[in-house]
Amino acid sequence: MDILKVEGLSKVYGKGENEVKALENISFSVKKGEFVAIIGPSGSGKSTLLHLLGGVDKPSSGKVYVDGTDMYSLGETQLAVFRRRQIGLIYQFYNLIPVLTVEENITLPLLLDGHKVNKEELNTLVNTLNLQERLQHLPNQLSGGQQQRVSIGRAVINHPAIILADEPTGNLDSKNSKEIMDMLVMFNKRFNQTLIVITHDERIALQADRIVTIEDGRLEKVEVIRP
Amino acid sequence: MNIVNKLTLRHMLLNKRRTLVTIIGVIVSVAMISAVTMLGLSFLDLLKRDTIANHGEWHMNYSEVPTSKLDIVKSSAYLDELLLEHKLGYAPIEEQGLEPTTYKPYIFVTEYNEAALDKLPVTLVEGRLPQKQNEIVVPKHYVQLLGESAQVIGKSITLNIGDRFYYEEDTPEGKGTAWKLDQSDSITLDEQKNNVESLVDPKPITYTIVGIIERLNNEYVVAPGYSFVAYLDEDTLSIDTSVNTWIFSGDPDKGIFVDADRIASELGMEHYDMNTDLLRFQFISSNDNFMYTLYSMITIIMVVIMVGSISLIYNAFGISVADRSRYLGMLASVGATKRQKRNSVLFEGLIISAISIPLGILSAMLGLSITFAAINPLFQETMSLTEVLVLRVNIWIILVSIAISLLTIMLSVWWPARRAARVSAIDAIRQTQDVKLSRKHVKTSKLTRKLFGIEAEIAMKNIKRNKRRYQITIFSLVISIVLFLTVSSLTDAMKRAQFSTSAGINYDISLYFEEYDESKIELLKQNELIKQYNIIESINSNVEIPVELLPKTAQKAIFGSEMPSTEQTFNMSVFFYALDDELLKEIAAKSSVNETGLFDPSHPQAILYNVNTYYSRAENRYVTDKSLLQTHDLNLPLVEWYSVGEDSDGNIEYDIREFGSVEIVGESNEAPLGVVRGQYGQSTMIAFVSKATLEQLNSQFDSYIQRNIYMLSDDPMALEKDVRENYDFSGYSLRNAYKSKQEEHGLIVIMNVFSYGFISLITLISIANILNTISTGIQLRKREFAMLRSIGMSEKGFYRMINYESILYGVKSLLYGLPTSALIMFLIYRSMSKTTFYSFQVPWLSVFIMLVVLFMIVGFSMLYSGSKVKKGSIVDAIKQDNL
Repeated sequence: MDILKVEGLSKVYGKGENEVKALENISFSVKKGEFVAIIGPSGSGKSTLLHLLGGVDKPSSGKVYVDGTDMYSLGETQLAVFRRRQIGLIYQFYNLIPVLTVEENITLPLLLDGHKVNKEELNTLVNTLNLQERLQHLPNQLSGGQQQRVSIGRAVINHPAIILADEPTGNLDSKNSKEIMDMLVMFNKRFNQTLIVITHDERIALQADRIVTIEDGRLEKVEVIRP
Repeated sequence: MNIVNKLTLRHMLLNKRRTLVTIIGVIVSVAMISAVTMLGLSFLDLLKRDTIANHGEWHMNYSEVPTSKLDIVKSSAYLDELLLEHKLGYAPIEEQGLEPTTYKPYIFVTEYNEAALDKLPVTLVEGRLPQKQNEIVVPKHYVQLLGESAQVIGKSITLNIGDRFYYEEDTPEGKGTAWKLDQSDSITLDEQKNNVESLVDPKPITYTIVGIIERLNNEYVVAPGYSFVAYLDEDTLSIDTSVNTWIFSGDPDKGIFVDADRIASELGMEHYDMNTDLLRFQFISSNDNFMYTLYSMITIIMVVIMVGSISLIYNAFGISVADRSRYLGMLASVGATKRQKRNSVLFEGLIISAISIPLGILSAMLGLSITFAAINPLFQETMSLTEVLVLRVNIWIILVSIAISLLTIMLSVWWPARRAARVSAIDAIRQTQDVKLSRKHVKTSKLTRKLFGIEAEIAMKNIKRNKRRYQITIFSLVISIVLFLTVSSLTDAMKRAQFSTSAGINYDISLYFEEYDESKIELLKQNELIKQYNIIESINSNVEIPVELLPKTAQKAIFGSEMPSTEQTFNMSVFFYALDDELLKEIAAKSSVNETGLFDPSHPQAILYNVNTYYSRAENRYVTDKSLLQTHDLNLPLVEWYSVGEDSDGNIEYDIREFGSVEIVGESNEAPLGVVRGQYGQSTMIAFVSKATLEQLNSQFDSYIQRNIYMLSDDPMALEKDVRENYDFSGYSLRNAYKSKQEEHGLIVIMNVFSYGFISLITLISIANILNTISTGIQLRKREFAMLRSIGMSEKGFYRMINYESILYGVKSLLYGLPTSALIMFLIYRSMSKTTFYSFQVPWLSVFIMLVVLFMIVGFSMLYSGSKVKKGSIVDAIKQDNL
């Protein structure tokens, strides 16, 4: 079953002479539980694609279906709520809220929904992320790797339809990078969590089930690594 | 607390300095809003108490109501207390062993019932008020006649009280009228100054004196009797007597006017009184310009405060949103809705409100209490009030203050909250909010770099990149500039207008005598408090002046559009002032006039005081000009209009007769002590003559010589007190011109206190605004500054860049602020010059002060913030961190 379906997705910046086609007519789909890596040179439109898949930017044309829902047919509020529940975003620079603790950063999507946090589930997640000693710390008191783990926790807490990670190891050393990728892969395998990762790193890309190559805003090829 | 609010609270705590500056700014705004409402209420309360103290606490007054009709008065739906006064009559003062004076030979007894004693203005000095029949209180100025050691309380006094009548002489046409007289009628004297009145049907009544009171307000100077107040028992009133009645209502409303009319109608009275002053201050008035003016003033002031406050609060929250845009974007990326983002700003507004509003209201109460304590002595003197300003606060004022403050805060927060709602996840991810600029936005002149260097160009571009923030800062600065300069100009104008209207009043105290007692005057002249004096005797007559001799200003002022032919003559009044011989000779010498003729009464000569003030209808303002265009060899016929009978329509016909002339032989612009230009109006001249000439002129027509003493003193207030208490003058009137000038001056001082206090607070708000904007703007550009430093900008260059920005803020705000201020100052001049004459002047000192303070504020903000930024590590600032 396709958890993600992209049809004719385009994104254009500027007008007339200054027009820049960041993405042009991208179409592909992702099955539930799949791990897809998106690769391409700098400025190819990878991040733009990820942002459109995550509902944080608006396409110039095209459609994105997540778990059967046409995301861009939703109203703003509906989209925000949808994103909160169905999309998990992980950034290269973590983008944690500096004034919230680790626990609060992780549970932020639940708290925005006004839901009560299931302590048991949280504890399990925190243990998996190896952050049990850091729950009440602020982000600036954590290492890069720890911050990224918090970011992962935030992304998965709501069991979203898809996790989108934009260069999740771009700001980490090799040890931490491996740790983070291992975690993401673990979530993908163990919990059948659909995972889409943008990466420069071939080693990471080769861990995926499929590799989607973007170049100059166009989908160049789709390689199946693990059928 | 939900997570968004928690986040908001933590963000506020993280930015303590900015949060504190915002809170302080809002406290000041709330304090000002509250102060305006409290001041209005306190001022109205003061006027109400003063009205009660001076005129009593009552609402309706019906005079001379027959006791048989008292039930009609009592039928009023608004009656809570009925005040009654029964005027008993007069008793000769000489029966008490005192020497009667010509003008005040009586004791006047009036009776008040209990309600009247309580609610009419009777001020007890010693003892107590009467509580039963045959108890009486006496006035202080009567007790003083008995001597310093007189003890009157507890003593018995028997008064033969009768009615005061004056009987006109019978004529062939019929019997003379019998006039019943009261305290508003001065004593009736014959030509020899003998009392020709009669006391009719005097009856003895014995009283016990139980207290001493201040002189009653309704005992005028001309009143011939010392007012005693006895107790009135309503049951003792006979059926054929009349009383004055007042109705006091505990809870009046607008219906009181209808009820008052009804009672008057039933009583058959055309005239009755309402205590409109008291009703006005109780917010019940049928048609009131005063309240309209007060409400308008309060509204205007409130609007100015709100505009300044909104600008501060809006700016503060705008900065907060800008500062938090990354957080808000992150929240958006995690799924926060627009409403949640918007509510985070509104929540910040509520927190600020919760802290600032109570503190602001308390600050207002404290500030006003201190201000009142400081200005009360001056205020009482200036406004001629008997009461002092007391801070009045009630629940409605508090609620109104809270409501207006909340409205102000929420109006200010609303737009930043909307902006917060629009912060998108992608803005936060990319951190590219600024990238929406184009070259056009930050275009600067090539000259800037050539003349001032790259630092100035960067400074200029920085200002252009965030137009909204820059505009708000400029707006705050401009408001402060305009307010400061226009209030300075207004205060300066009022000071000069005051001098303009009181200009020419060159004495402190003047005394006018009906009865001129040479020996007593000699005694007065020796008073040590008198520094200089001038006794002027004067008479008034009319002269026929050819219109062509009047200056054009005078012609326009007197005739307006109905200009007569210049060949015609015009009847003018002239006051002849007799000066001391030495003084007249001095003036003659200065005016190049041969003095000999001035002292020859057979051919009366005069020197014209050739300065007068005219009200120009066409120009709608006062101007100064000569009285006459010709002041030599000018013979002025002295004329008198007299009645020659009636015409066929019954109108009285007049004819004019000459009875002499006076020759104008010179002019003087010098005003001896006591001579005031424009004193008698634009159709009256003043001319100086010798005493001999004055007596000669007086003998020629039916006039009388007025005698005034004009005095200068180092302590005019003490001199006034001394004259009133220690000199036994009869029939005199004293004017304390010094006190009037002081009152006007005092009024300006009070205006200064409130207006400069207001300006200071508004400026404080502006300073908070500017500090917030500039320092945060710099903080937000930390990374850019670090980059500039990393590529080699020196410390000197860095500060030069900061300085250029502050200069640009200052210059731009002056470019808007100065012309706006100049326009308003000119408008003030135009409106003031409608009533007074003075020249337009820019308050240069205020302009200088404003310039200094302006650049100090802006410069300090920038340097302070810049120094903080400079101290940080370049690397830390350049790195992409979590702020």
